[in-house]
Amino acid sequence: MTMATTRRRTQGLALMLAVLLSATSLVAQAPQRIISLVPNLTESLFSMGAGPQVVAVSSFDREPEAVRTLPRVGALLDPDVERILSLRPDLVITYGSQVELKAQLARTGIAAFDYRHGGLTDALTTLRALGVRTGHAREAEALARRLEQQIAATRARVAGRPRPRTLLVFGREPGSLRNIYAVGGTGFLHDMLEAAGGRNVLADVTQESVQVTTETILARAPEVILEIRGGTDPSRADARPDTSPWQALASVPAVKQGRLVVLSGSWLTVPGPRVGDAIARFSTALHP
Amino acid sequence: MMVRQRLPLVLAVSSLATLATIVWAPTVGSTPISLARVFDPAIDWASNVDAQIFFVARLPRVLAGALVGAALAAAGVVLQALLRNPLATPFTLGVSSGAALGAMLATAFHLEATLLGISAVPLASFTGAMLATAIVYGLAASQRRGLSTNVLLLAGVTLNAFFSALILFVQYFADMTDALRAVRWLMGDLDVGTLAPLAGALPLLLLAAAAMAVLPRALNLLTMGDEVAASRGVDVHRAQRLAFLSASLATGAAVSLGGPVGFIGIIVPHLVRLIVGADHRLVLPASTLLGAAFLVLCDVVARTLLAPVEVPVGIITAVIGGPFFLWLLVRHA
Amino acid sequence: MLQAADVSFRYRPGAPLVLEGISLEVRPGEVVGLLGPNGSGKTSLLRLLSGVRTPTAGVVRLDGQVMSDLSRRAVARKVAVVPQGVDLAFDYTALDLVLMGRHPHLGLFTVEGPADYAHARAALAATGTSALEDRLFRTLSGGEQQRVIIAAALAQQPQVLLLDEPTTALDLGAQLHLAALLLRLNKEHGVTLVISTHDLHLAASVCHRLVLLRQGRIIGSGPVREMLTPGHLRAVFDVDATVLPNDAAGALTIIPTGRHAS
Repeated sequence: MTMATTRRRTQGLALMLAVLLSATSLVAQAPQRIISLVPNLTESLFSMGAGPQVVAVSSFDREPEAVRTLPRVGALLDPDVERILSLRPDLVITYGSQVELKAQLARTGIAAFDYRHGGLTDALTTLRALGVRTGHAREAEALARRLEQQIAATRARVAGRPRPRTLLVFGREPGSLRNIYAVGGTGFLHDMLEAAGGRNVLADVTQESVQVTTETILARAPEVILEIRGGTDPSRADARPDTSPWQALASVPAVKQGRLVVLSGSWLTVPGPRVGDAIARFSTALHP
Repeated sequence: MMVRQRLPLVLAVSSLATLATIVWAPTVGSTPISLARVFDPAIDWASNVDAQIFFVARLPRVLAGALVGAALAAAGVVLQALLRNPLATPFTLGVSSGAALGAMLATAFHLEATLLGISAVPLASFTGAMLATAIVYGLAASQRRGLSTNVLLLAGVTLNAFFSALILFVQYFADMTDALRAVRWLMGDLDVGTLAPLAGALPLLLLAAAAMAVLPRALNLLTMGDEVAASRGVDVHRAQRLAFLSASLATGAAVSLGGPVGFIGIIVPHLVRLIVGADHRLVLPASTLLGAAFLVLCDVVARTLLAPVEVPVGIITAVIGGPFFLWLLVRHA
Repeated sequence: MLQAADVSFRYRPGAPLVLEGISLEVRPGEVVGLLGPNGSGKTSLLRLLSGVRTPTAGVVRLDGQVMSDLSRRAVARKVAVVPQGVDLAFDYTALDLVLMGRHPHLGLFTVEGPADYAHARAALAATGTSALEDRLFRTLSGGEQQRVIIAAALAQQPQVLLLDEPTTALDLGAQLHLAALLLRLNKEHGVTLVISTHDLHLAASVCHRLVLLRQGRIIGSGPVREMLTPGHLRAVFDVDATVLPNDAAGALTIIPTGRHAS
């Protein structure tokens, strides 16, 4: 018997064991005290009916309304471990990069649900996995189906239409063309843009976010510039957007044809239960 | 050769080198453009992509690089003479972290006011730079016996640590994207978009240049120490005040334009001294001119190396400047 | 020419006085020695006489005018200082350094012309450093540096040269060289000299008149032969010494014989 097959067999055994174990623990008891450090998953938890199980959230959580009264236990960079432990959770939703926190949780026997940022399909996979893990598999499945249908409907609406070459901007210094951050050719927002019937002018850049120079924008000549203004303060997000600095780039088709669209609201960039709405919003901007 | 004969020669050579760089730089970039199309009056402006890349994307950026490079190199020369320390730079004194704190606060509080075409972030960083200089100068002046080098350098180190802590504190509470934006600003960014920010910084730079114009001979004498300079007929307090004011004006204006680009103030003056000697009447103008050329060249690398992704220009200057600084340290030790 | 009238000085308010009730006059052509141990206030007194410091009480006059009313440039055209040592932060040549002495004679944007170079080269010649013209100052020996600094002071075309402990850092040969140079400057170039020192041989061989300082006060003043007595030396330095006339050197020889038990 070769080493490789031995290893494969052991791995297979381990995997089977893990599946069995998690299945029994799931059947045995769904977590009743969940702490979520990932805001978009908090929102998903509430959408699938796991809201009553959530006992604490991260310092950046604002959605839905119900989280505003829950205790805060830090966030990605500064999780408050003492606070987390004192709340006696049976499941903590963590970021993939929070290695130390996960080690500490493991030592105290607290389960962790690992969130990894990815593309649009990853978001739906995560949603389903979260449902299974929290005992809301059916609700999560329904939610995911609804989102898939919503996305499919948007795709159908824009099918066959010319897909405008689009620059999706999510950061820019106010009143100027400095510090422009746009969506590159990978990740969740890029997938959303393509689903909404746009063609990302930065599709060839294998980064999630790109700082673009005015030269690149002039050279790529987008037909639509879609600008998302987010931030955490909803009142500020509604402030009148200023697109006048773009006029300096007169040869860009989007500027010539006045196709500078500003969408406000941080929810537009969250890979959570409102992603279907967000894609629909993008698509009405791109295909009015 | 007498200084009278060397001065025109040094000025002519460095002006030519700088001018050539500034003329050449806008013709290169991530996108190939045709100069014939750029200057073809038959093509309508709104549809002349080449002309817009040249005049909108590249020219303001090259000019910003020239102004920032010139200002930082000149400020470096003045501060080195003032502190009698060839390792002093605008950034040894905590001015960069002062600027950084200003930028960070502006992004954290989403200040959107503009003044003279400069938007809030650079404006706040300029205020921070001036504040840091004022604190260092105030500390040194309170010593009554003039400006002690040790006090100044230590104050600079302390201020750097203090401002850095405040920056981390602000960053800790900032939004992810805002923090990212501020961090990016700290790496230096010359893509100004329009000429308006240049026009906003120009008055400050001209003021700094006027103050520096009367300084060079006094700077020569100040490098021998305050009392020797005074006994040779220098009004030491006036010269020191002018030097401090002009250096912080230049640094503040430069940081407001391009962020705290590091190491220009040490690389350029040292290379210039190797060529023309230590006389500040030659070193100051030559460093100012060649500082412009140096940063413009670094920025050409920054915008073409990984295009369309941009390398922050501060990283380019740091990659060159870091080892250079260490080499100087070893050489002086 | 230089006159201090009942001058007291402290470096900052609240600090102890480093000079108290000092009155002295330096006449044209004189060589005056300020003799005293370390910490007696010699350097501080030179700072007042050169105008880089202003007395806390009393007044210093230059050619009858109150020193603190004069501009730095006006003072520097008449009074030049040779500091104990110069720590240069940058690499200047000997000629660069001497040319800096022309500062008080140049306008704001004037660059040195042939006349200024002539003055600088004359100063180098007078101090025997012409051959060092193009050498970097930092590469010179202590004695050579000292003479270049004196040349820079001479390039100011001063009437008075103030020297602060000029022999402290020099070896024996350089000390004799310097004493000869100072005598020549005084005799041939008519430069008035004020020398602070605790070097008894320099005081004996160069100075016409000595002012004895101790703890910020003048404890004696007069011609060299009257001041360099065992009694005065004991009062100034706390040492017992034998003083012998030395006709070969045209001066006195002082032999310290022991520390005075007080």
